[in-house]
Amino acid sequence: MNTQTPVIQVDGLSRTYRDVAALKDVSFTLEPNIICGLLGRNGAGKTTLMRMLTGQDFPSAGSARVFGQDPVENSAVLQQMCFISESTRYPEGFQARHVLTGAPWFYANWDAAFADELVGKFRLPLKREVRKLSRGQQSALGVIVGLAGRAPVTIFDEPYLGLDAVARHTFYDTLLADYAEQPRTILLSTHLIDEVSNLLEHVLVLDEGRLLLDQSADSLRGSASAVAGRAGDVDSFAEGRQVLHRDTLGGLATVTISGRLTSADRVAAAAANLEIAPVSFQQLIVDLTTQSTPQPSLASVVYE
Amino acid sequence: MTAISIAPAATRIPSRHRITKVMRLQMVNRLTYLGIPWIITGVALVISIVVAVLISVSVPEPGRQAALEGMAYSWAGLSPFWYLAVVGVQAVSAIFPFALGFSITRREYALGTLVTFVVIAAFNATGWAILTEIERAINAAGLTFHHFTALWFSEVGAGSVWLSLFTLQIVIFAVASAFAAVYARWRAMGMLVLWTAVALVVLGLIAFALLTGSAVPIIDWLMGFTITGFFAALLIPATLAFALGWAALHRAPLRG
Repeated sequence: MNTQTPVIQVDGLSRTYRDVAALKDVSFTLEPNIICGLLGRNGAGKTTLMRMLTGQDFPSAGSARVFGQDPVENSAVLQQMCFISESTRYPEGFQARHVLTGAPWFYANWDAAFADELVGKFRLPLKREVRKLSRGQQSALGVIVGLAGRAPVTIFDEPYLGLDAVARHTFYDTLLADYAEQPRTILLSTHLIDEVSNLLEHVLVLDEGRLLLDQSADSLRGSASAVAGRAGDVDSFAEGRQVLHRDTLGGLATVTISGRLTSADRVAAAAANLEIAPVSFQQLIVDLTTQSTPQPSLASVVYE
Repeated sequence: MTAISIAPAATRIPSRHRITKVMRLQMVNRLTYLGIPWIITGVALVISIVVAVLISVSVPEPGRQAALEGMAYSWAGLSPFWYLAVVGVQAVSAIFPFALGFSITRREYALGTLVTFVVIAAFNATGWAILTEIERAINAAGLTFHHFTALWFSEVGAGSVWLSLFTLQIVIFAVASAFAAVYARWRAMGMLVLWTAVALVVLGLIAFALLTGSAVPIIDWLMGFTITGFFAALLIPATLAFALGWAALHRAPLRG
């Protein structure tokens, strides 16, 4: 029984563009006040899903509800949402200061002082036309709007494009610090999985339009192990277990095994001269989304 | 059991305020709506003055006055209007996706943009109508010069001048934004269908007029309009164009 109050509820959501199915029967709920990672390969359907959540696109089937309501043309709901997309195209002649002047008109919780502080942190030039800013500076502008907007539901679609390593870490640190002070629901799509893995409390993984994984980050951490050694020994050890990925090099093999290993497993592995290493978030997602056989439905890769 | 919150917790901004804020968003870059049309007005006026000076110095006295009166057929006063078609397209193609990114509903965007068009058209019409009256006074004082008092503007009163300037802008905004909205919704295929439909309607009307022998009565009927009546009636097709734009936009997805 789920007694949590979902802020986002998606039921059987599908989106088809002519003969291309961008989303296929996606269902999940998100509790309020968490940072959720939306992960997946290019073309997995992440942006389509986020556009549907913000009423920018329309479902072919199923429903997306935010605060229990359909977000499409729903001012009361949309006012509580901020969607920062890497594909935002700024109107000709718009300078960063124009964007930051306009943002508080639409985000009731806008914190101007915080925005000013972030402009300094990201060294964003305010009086240059946005289209003439570097890709990284444009991303910084989006990040500033997303953070200072303090919308109860904030969605970032690959907000880091072009940001250098320092600016990305400024974003992560600021996001985490501000989230601690002002908890809200943050949905973050990214390819830099390992960089954000410590931020995430929940993970959604999309692959070819299907939801592959819907799981808390805590239960995902350490939920798979890489076992390496002689191919025969590795295969013997892996027999009967769910293997997410297998690499071979000469007579050596490495397999990614889903599920937590018991002490007995570790003893058996040591006895067989097998090395066991934790699998990073990124490697786990890569393994999940590069399996040769498509996942029939929501993956159940992790069990205690 | 799943409990769903039905009321967002944070502060809300009333819808009418958000429509006003869409207007402000449209006006953030004032160069687009006000700067460039008035720069074009100024440049065109300077060109007309130069032409008038050239006529004055180069045409001998007997024909000079008639030559200056010839400027009454100049379209120079309407030169900013062509640019307004660009404004109408940009208001949709550039601001609509940006506005949706600010969590604005399509309805709020459409209403805010419509109000922006009306306010801008009224502002520009007032400015140009005042300049028309000033030019009329200059001509009354004996100095022949026609830039704003060209075409029908020299023949009608200040109210009709204002109405025709206002309506022309509204028609241009409506048609340009409707085309941009159709493109936003259906892209190139929408353009193809719309242009074909426009061509068929125009051809159909001409065929109807010719085949039923009603061309002359229709022309007589149109000529029977006063300037005021004609431009007031133009607000009807403008309204239809706005309606077409909204029909396209209200289900337009964000792309790109």
